[in-house]
Amino acid sequence: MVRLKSRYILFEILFPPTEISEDELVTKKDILLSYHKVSPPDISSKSILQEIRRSLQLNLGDYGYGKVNSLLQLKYFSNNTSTGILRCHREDTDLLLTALFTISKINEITNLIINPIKVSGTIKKIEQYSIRRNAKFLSLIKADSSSVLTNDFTNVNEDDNDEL
Amino acid sequence: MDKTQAFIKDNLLVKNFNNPDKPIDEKRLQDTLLILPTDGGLTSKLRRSRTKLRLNTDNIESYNKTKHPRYRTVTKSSKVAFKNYINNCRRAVSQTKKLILENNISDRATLEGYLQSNNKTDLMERLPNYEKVKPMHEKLWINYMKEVLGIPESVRDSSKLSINGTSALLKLSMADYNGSLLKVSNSRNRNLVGIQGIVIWDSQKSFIMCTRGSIYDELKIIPKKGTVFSFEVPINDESALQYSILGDRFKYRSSDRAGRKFKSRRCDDMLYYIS
Amino acid sequence: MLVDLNVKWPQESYEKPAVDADIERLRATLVTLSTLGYTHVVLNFTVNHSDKFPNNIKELNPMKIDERFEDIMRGTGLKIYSRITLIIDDPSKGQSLSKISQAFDIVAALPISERGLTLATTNLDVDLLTFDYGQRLPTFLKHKSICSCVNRGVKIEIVYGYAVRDIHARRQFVSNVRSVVRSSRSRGIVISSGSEGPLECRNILGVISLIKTLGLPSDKCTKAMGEFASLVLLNGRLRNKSHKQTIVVGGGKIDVVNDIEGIDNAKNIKIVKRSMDDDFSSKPHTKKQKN
Repeated sequence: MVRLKSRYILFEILFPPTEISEDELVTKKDILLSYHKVSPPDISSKSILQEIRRSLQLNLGDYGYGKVNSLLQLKYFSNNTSTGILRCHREDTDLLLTALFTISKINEITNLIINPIKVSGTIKKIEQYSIRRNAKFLSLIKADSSSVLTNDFTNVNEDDNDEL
Repeated sequence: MDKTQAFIKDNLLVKNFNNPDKPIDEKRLQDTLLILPTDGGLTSKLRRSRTKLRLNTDNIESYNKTKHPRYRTVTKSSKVAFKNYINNCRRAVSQTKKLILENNISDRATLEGYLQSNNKTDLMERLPNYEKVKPMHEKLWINYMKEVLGIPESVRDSSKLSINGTSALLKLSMADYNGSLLKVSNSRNRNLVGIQGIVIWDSQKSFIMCTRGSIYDELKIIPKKGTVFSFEVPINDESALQYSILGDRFKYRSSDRAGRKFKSRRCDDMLYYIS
Repeated sequence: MLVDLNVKWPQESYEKPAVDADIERLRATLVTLSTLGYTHVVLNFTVNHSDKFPNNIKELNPMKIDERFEDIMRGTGLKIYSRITLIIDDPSKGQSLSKISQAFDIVAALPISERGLTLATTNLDVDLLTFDYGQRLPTFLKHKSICSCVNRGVKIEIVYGYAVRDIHARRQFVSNVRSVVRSSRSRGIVISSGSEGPLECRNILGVISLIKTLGLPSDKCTKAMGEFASLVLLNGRLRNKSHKQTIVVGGGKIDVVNDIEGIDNAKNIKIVKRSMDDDFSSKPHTKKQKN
């Protein structure tokens, strides 16, 4: 029997400030804190899925909607960290990501970006990656905010540290 | 009526012929054609050839002053000699390498002592010597560069140096790099990165450099393709102007480069430089 | 390196200088981009080619990147460059590019008429060819003109900002991208955001999946935001910082694209501490060969 192949998408919801004045100090810590906020209670698993479906219908039509919706689950979403995990069919990953690309509001909350971080075949790896990533962020925030930190988030990859 | 015909008849033919209406006397033609020497350009031709002959000898004389009569063989044999020198150096280096491995030599003095005690002084002479080419860089090239770029003898504050960067770049692209101290700053071949030496010959596709080592000096042939060299033109004791050569766009002999008009090309082959 | 070649500079022409509120918005955009993982960002100033340009070279570039965004560059490690996009309508009215290109890192062309397109693809010395993706393309794009343009080293830009903005632009965007991909045979394409605010920035993952669904092969997609885009930067930087790509200002470990601070822009020289010592005699045999 052929296994059902699926993909898991780790995403986060970013809340970028619309303006940063010139005399505001820009450090890695400030940026991290201002972008990763707690999502308001309006944003829930249900509203996110609803918005994704709406975007699918709008951009990809009945065909895309039906195709992606055949296996579309929100495996996990946490309002505290504004991160979630989506599951979809392997062939439809691009369509789903395109739908996420065009979303600009969830339930009347407009200033947000849905930022897909990682696509993986197993949910285990996604979780491990997410934990590592958050640990890195925490260490950045804990570190002295005045010092210039050169290491980037993009440097976080799978073979970074396997003890987690 | 055609005016030119009339003009020719009135002004030109009247002066030379008895009957301007009929300038060429057919009878005369028939009689004398074979005997009379026609001025069909023969005299002028002769004169021309004579002057040419004279010029030719002149040319040869002046030629002789700048070029050797057998310059082809000379350049050829100089090429052979240079090639031999390079091969000799490389052979000597590989021999010394072997000796060093066999005898566990760890510095220059012991190597010299060992070579002298074992009657291998010829090997030592054949080894390339960095000290020998150093004056080429220090005395010749740096002063030449300073003159080319118009850097004054003594600049106390390097930030107050006033030179036009764009024209300096143009001059640098035509300058001579025999004797410059180059460092490989980036290359497709990772092993080359960091090599530093004095250029002893700037050939079309490679720089032949003399590099300094801790025990012995070496001759290295670094291809220009896929390599970025950086060099410095010192202003005073502390600071220097830094430039780099993109080897991919520099694949011309130094003599050809002098009058060349460079062209920008697509730089898809230079991805190694930025990543 | 992840490059965004197009972030809108909030200024329409030389007469109207940028307002402070717009610049604050731009700063937010830059910080957002750096959060999304971008390392190099280019500010894009769009100007009509037939407009009047200031005579003084110093006034030609209104951005003053070093003054305004220095703290962002230091705080986030983001590298910011300048770009000018010339809207080309009637080729006869434009002025020479050589002076304009001195003040900017990248020069791009945006043809809005057929004649403008012919000029831009044949003999205009630009780094980038871009289109207005929110409107119909000026003419049917032919393989021949676009491919010859790519062979010259000019890259074609896809601006995904139009897909985020509104639904009508999105429709036009899709058809325009299709025709650009077809005419260039998916060679030499770069993708950039063209964002006007922080909400229009997207992560590489989302952008790639969008362009992939529009028909660009996936390997080209990743290259379009990394390698090809950085080649555009290299090409543009080499125009001013080198003599016809032979001798480049600066050097050492850092290359000409990443070396923003070291090079003296006004004089076009780089002064460093003397490090390549020719003074071996005083401390002999200390230098080891790195081989």
